[in-house]
Amino acid sequence: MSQMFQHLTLRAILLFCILISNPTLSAQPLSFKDVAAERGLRFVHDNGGTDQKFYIETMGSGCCLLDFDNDNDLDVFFLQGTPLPGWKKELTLRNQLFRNDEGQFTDVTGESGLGATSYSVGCAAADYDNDGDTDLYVTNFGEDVLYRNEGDGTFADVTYVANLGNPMWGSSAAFLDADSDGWLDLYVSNYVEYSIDNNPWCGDQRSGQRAYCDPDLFTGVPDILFKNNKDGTFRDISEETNISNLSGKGLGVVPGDFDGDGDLDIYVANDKVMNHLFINDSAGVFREDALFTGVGFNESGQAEAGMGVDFGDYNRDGFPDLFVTNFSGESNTLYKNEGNGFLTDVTFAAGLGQPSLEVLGFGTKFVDLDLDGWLDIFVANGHVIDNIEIINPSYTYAQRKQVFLNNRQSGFSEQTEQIGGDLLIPSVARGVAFGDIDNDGDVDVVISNNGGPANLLLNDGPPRNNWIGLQLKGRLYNLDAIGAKVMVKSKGGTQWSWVNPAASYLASNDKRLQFGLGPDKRADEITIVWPGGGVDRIEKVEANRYYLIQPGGEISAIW
Amino acid sequence: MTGDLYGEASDILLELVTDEPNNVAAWTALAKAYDRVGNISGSSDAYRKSLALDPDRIDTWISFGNFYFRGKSYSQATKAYRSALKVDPDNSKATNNLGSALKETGNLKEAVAHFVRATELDAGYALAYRNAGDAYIMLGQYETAIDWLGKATQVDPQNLFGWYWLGRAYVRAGEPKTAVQHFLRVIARRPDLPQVHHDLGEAYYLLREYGKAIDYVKNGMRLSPAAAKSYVTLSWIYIRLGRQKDALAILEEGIEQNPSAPAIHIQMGDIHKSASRHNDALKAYTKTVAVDPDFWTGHYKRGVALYYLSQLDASEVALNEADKLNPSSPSVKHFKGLVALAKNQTDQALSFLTEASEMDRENADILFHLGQAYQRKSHWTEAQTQFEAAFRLNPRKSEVLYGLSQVSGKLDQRAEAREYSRRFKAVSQFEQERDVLMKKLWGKPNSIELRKDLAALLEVNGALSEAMEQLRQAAYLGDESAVEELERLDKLMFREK
Repeated sequence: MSQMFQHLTLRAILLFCILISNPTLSAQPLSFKDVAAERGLRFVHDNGGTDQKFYIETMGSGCCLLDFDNDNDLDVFFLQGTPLPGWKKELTLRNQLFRNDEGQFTDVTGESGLGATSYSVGCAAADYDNDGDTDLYVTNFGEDVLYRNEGDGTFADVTYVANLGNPMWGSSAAFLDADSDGWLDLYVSNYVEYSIDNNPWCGDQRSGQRAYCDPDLFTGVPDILFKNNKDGTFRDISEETNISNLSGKGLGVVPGDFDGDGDLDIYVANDKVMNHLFINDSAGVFREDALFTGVGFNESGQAEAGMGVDFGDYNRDGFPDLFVTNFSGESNTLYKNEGNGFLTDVTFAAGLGQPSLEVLGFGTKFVDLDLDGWLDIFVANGHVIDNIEIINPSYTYAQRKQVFLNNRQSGFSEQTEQIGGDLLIPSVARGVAFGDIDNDGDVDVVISNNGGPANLLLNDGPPRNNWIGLQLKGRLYNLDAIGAKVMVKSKGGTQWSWVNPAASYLASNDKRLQFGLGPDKRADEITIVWPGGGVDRIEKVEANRYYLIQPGGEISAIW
Repeated sequence: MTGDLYGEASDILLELVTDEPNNVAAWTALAKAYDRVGNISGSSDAYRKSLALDPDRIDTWISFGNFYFRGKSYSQATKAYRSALKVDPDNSKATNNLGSALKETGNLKEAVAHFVRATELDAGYALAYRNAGDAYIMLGQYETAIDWLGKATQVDPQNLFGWYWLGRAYVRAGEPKTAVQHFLRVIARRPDLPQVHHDLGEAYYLLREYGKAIDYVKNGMRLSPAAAKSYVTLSWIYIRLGRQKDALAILEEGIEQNPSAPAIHIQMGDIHKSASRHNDALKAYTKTVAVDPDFWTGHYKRGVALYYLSQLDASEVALNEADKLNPSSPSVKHFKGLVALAKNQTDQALSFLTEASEMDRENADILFHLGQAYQRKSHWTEAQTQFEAAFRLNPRKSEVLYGLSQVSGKLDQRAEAREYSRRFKAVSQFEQERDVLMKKLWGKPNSIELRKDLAALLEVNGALSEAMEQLRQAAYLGDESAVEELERLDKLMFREK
C-alpha cells in the first residue's frame, strides 16, 4: 500500500477528499464549459484558404493529447494550415504545442521544435523507440514528419533518418504493434490524389456559387504501413502485408482486435468508398474483409462518407464495437460486434440514426462521460461546404456538438439539448482529442475547428460518479501497452476497454483508460491482457484514483 | 347562338312549358338551353320532366347522357346511355357514347366492346373506330389500336383527328418513324394545331433527332403558350442532351406563361432532385402543392424531398396528405415506411411496407426495404425471403445483394454470404464508377470523352442500351467515331437478341 501512495501529490489528496465527501455526485447533470481561452489554450486554426476553394482547406486539421514532459498531465499539440495561393494575411502559421502547467497552458512551440510551417493534417503520439517518452508523427499535405522526443522538452525531426517517407496527403495515423514484436509500427491512412495546381471548379453552375468539390472527383490512394526496425528506422511493408493492394480515401483509423484472436486488426473509415477492415493473420500480414464482416457499408449497402472512427464495448459483451461519423443526410454508423466474426449496422435501432442525419460528423469517441460504467458517444460536427447555407439552406456550416448517453439497453439517447451550455455553441469541428485534461477522472474534449479558435470543453464540475483511471506501461517493449485489453469488474458489472490512443479524426487521445464505476467505491477485479499475451489480475482496487500498472501485476497510484 | 341568345331562348321556352306543361319537345329544348347557359340544376330538372312525359325518346336520353358526360358525372351518364339503349338496343350513337362513359370510369374492356358494337351497327362510324383505338392504347395493346385507328382513317380519310390519333398510337407502339409521317400529314393541312406540333416533336425526340424535336415542340409552344406539356417535353429533351440549365430556363418560362400548371413545377422539382438538389426540389414541389392542393403527386414528391433533407416530421405530414388524397398509391406507402424506418419506428415501417408490397409486388425497392425492416427486428428468415423476392425482380440491385450477404451470414450460410458479397462488390464497384462519371458529366455535359468513357463502362457491365444512349449523345455532340461505335453495338445487341 505504501507504494500505491508514493506518487500521490497534495493536490490529488485534496481532490480525493472532495470526491469521497460528496455522496450525491451522480445526481448532478453533465455540463461542458469551453475554457480554452481562460486556460491559455489559444490556438486559432487557419486553413490558408481564399475564394479558390482548394480542397485541402475544408478537411481541417487535428490535435494530439500527449504527456510529452512526463509530468502526468496531458499537453496539447495542434496542427495548423499554411498559406495557399491568394492568401494575404500578416501571420505566420505553424503547429503549436501547449504545455499543461497545473491546468494552465503555456505555448512552448518555440523551444519544442514542433513549430513546423507545413500544411499539417493529423498526428499520432506514442513511444515508438521505447525510450520512455512520447514521440509524434505528423501527417501533412506534403511529406509527413516523425518527431522523436529527446526527453528534454524538445523534439527532433527524424523523418529522413527513420526512413519514413509518405508524400501523399496523409490524414489519420496510428501506432500499433502489427507484428507483435514489441515495437510499435505505424499505419498512415492517406486521402486522395490532389494538388493545388489541379483545382477543378465545383459548385452550383446556375448561381455561379463555387463550392468545395465532392471527393468523387478525386482518385483514392492506398494507405501505408511502416514496420519498426527496432533501431530507430522504419520500412514500408505496405505491399507485403497487403495494405497497398487497395486504394481508399482514408480519413479515420483505429487499430483493434475486432476478431478477438489476440492481434491488432486495422479499421479505416474511407470517404464515400467502402471502409476497410484489415484482418491481421497474427504475423502482421493482413486480409481486407470489411464487406464480408459487415463494416464496409451501411445497412443498405451504401458506402458512406466516413470521417471519424472509434471502437469500444458499448453493450458490455466483451467485444469491440465500431462507430463511424459520416456526412449530413447519412447517419453516423454503429456496428455491433456479434462476436462471431460479423458486425451488424445497428445505428437506427440504437437510436443514433435520426439525430445524425442533419449534421456532418468528424471527431468522435466512445467515452463514459457520466462515469456510470457505460460508454457514451461524443460527436463533433461541422459541414465541409463553407457556403452551404446558400447552396442548401437546410444545413449550416458551423454545427453543434452532440452527446449520446448510453441507456444501458443497447441504445443511446441524445442529450445535447439537456446538457446545453457550450456544447450548443456551433463550430466547424474537425480533429477532436479526448482525455482527462484536469486529471479529475472524467474525460474532457479538445476540438480543433476549421478556420477558427480551438475549444477545450471541460467536463465541468466534480465527476458524477466514482471512477478508476489506469495507465498501463509495458516493460522494455511497447511501453505504451498499445493493444492491451483491460477488464474491470465491480458490483455494477463488467466492462472492457483497450489501450489505444489512435481514434477520432486526425487525432491522438489520452492513452490512459478511465472506467466509470457508478456508485461502486472500488473495482473488485481488474484483469489486464497484455500485448503479447501475459495476463495479470488485481483485486480490490479503490476508486477515484489513477494507477500505474505494469506487467506482473505491479500497481501504484499516480494521483 | 351566343350565351345571351340561349338566355333569351330559355326564357321563351320557360314561358312555353308553363303554358304547355306536357310539351315534351319544349322541355327537352329548355334543358339544352339551360345547359348552354350553365344552369345545371335547371337543365337536369327539364331533362327529367321531358323523360317523365316520354321515356321512349332516345335522343333525349342521349342528350341527357351527354349533359352528364360533359359535367364529368360518368356514372350518371352511363345510366342515361343505358336507358337510351333500352329504348333502342341498336342505336350506334348511344352504344358509342356508353363506351366513352365506361372508358372514363376505367372500365376499358367493356368500353371496347361497346365501341366495337357501335362500328358493327354503323360501319361508317369513324368516331367509334377512333374510340376503340384509343381504348386499346390505354390497354397497352398498341398493334390492335393501330388497326382500329387505321380503320377510322379509311372510313373518314378527310378527318385529320383520325390521322393524328393514329400517329399517337404509333408513338406509343414504339414506331415514331411512322408516327412522324402521320403527324406531318396533319400539319400540312392544319399547321395551327399546337398539340400536333408537340407530338411530332416528341416523335422526333424518340428518333433522337433532337434538333427537329426542339423545333416542333417550340412551334407547339408558340401556338399555345400556356400549354404546360410543351415546356415539360422540351425540358426532357434538354436534359437528355445534358443541357440542364436550358431545361430549367424553359421551365421558368413555362411558369411565367402558366404559373398554375402543376406539371411544370413537378418537372422542375424532378430535375433538381435528380441532381440531388433536394432543397430546390422541395421548393418546386411546394409550389405544386400551392397551385393544386388536391394533387396527391405534389404532396408525395414534397414528402420525398423532405425525407432526403432529413426533415422526417415534415415529410411524414406531406406523405400523410398524399395518402389521404390517394390511398391506393404504393409509392406513398413505401416512403411512409422509409420515414418510419428512419425514425426507428420499425413496427410502423413494417406495416407500411407490407401494405406497399401487397399493392405492388413488382417493386424491388419496396421488397428490399421490407426486408430491411425485418432485418432491424432481427427476423433474419423473413428478411431473407423479402430480399430474395427483390433479387428475383432485379438480380443486379446492389443493396439487395448486400442485404442477402448480410442475412446469409446471420443465418450461418457462410458460402452464400461470400457469394452474395462477391456479387455485391462487383455491382457496387460498377455503380460507383458509373456515378462518378455521371457526376463529372453534370459539370461537363458536352464532354465527348466522358460520354465515351461512360459508354465503355456501361458496355463492359452489360448495360448496352444505356451505353448506346451515351454514344448517341456523343454523336450528337459531333463525334464521328461514336457513330461507328453505335453501329457496332447495334450489331452486338441484334446478335444477343
